[in-house]
Amino acid sequence: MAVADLPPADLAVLSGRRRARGVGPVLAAVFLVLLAVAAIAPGLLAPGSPDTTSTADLLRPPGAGHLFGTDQNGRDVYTRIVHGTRDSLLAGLAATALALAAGIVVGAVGALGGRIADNLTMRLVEVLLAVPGLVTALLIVAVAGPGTTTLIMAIGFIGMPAYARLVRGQILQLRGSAFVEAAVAQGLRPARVAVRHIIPNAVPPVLLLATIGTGAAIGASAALSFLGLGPRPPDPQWGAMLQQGQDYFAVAWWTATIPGVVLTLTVLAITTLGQHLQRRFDGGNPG
Amino acid sequence: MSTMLVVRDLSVTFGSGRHRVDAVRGISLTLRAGRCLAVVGESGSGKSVTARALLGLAGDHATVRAGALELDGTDLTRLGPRQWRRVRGRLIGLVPQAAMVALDPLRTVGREVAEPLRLHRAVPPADIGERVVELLTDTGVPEPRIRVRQRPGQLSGGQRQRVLIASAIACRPPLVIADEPTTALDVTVQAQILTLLDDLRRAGTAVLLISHDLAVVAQLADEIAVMRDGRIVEHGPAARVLTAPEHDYTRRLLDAVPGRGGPPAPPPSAPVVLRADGLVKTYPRPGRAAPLRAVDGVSLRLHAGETLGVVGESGSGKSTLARLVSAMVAPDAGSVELDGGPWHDLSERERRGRRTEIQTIYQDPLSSFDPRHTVEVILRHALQAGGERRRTVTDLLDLVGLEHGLARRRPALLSGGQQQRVAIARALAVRPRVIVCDEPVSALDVSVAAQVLRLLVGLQREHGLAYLFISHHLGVVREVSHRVLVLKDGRVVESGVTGEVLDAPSHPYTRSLLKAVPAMPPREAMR
Repeated sequence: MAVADLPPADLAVLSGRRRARGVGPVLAAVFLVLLAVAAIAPGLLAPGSPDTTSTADLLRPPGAGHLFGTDQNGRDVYTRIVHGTRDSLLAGLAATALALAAGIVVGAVGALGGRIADNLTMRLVEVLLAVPGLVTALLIVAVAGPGTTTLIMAIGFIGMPAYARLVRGQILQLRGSAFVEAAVAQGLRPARVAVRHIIPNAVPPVLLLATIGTGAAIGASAALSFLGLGPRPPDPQWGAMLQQGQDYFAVAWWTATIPGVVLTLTVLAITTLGQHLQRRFDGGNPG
Repeated sequence: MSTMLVVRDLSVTFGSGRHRVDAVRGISLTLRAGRCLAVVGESGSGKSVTARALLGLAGDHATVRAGALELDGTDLTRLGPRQWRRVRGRLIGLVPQAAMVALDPLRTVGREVAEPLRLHRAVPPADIGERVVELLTDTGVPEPRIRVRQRPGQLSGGQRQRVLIASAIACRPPLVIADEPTTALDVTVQAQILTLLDDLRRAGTAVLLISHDLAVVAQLADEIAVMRDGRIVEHGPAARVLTAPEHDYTRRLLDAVPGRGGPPAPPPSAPVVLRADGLVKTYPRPGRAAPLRAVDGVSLRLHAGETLGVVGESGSGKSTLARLVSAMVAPDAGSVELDGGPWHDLSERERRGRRTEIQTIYQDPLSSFDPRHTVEVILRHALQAGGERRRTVTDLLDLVGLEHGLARRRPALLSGGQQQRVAIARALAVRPRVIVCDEPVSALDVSVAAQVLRLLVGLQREHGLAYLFISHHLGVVREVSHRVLVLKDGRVVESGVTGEVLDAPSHPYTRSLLKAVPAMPPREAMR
């Protein structure tokens, strides 16, 4: 049966199905755009001040006046979430960038620097991976003192080993591949081979891990803030909001739940988009 | 003899509407017990889809229609998934292709073969162990009592294929489907596997053999069905189809079987472009075992415009030899000279400028291309590497007979033959003196392989190229090589002019290789 023979209803179903496959990444992208606006210009989405207290509106449930309700000081939860976006995301993004940069350097040194360098870097990586990341991060913050900078350093440090391992494995695998051999056989200099074949092929899987890692890093920064090791109150930060909200959880579920949901959605959106981009990137190679 | 399998008007389609693909278009087959029917065709002819449809495994996206599909009187078209599971393995055994990957690397051979016995409760649980050993003995796996405890990684390719056959026939199914059972195996191993399938047939099993290689089929089949574009174009007794084919397509397939023509005439004397003396390469082995001497004192001369065939089974050191002469690994002893100048003892920095003089064409062209690059980018880079100013990507495509439109595609979207042509174009872009061809047509269909070989021979004449042509396929080697070198366990056991070595071999190993080559019956009339 040719396309023309199909009744219009069937065609609609077919094309509808095709569109459905793309909804996840689109929703994720829309959410991330909203977050970006919130981070850059929070006033656009929430004109009020996040620190305005109102004794008349203590622990109001979500409703017409306050979309996400109010907290124990009568501050609007929605406004605080919007204004807390920048701090909450920036720490995660900066930490991921740091981890990625350090991981690429350590991994490349391990793969290309000879046996001694490889042994040193990989043993360091294994030690770091053996200890739970948050414990290491807690240790670093405990020594260096709380604050946003130490928070980023600590999360970046614990994120590094995973990237280093992946980068090293990618480079080693690509170095042994037939297409790199074919490039060597054409008389290309090692630097040329690296720039043309090894780096472009090693980067996509690392970037995918980085997008997922960004979500994890945002979660980790919220966790450390929850433990009181991040920015100082009253700065609105999602992790800190979660922590303060838990004291009132029994009477006002929204104070802790809504920052938690926003945090979860953020991590989810970043991961979804990352995986989508990865698939697009690999589009040239079916299977 | 009873009729085992009846297929009438079988058709398989994938997708629907604009994306509909008719893979099988109404084919009919019958197969009796104790007989072998071969379905022959090239990639994409629908032969493997047919095999899978007969197992109820055509896939979720496939629509299978059949006028009749009967196994030993049972109607298969009405079976549900659960009933199909009872048929597979018990009534129909499948011997899959790719013995290297078809076995679970983590399961022992014993468990693999025992699986169908256990699933179908074919024998009492207490007897399973004995039956597995019996099956492995029957299929000719050496030392079966030791093998049952080993994993596939510890077995050779031929042994793994035997294990797969043992597993397929464990429940003594009356029908065995063998899908390219000997592709990627050495000739000697291939001959053993074919004998094994022949024994099954003699014992009363109906064998459906799927293959692209008429020479393989000729050994075993009672009847041959030739498939093309989902239809059977010719069907008849094997002897008739092979000796007096009626359909043009069958004739073309027969013509494509390599090794029917004589070896090429020797070229006029020309300077030596590649010279190796006493090459040795060893690899350490685990434990206290002596190191493996992969290449053990090999010497060779290759003249301009000449093809030197290197023949041997897997593990004979062919590929190591290729990497030694192309200076991808350094020899432990011996020397290589390229174009009369030093080669193996140059520093990598010095060698880099001369690398373009020797190029390699691989068995798997796809893995030799950067997956991110299109054909155009691959060829442009190659032209840059050769410092080329005159020729363009289009010139290269013309040279290897590829359409210009393919330049924008990535190699993964090309057919195997097209990929190999791109690989040849890339090699030629840097104007090499020597091309190492490492099994260049082993992964291709017979007719496509014939085209690629013709291209290589034509390019050699035109450009005076020297080929070091490595292959386990004696027919292919005979067709292109002026001289041959027979390699066994890293040593040269025989060498000389192709006709002399392959027609009157002096070494017993060469003789055993030749004996294993499937022989084609002579054609009655050559059109």
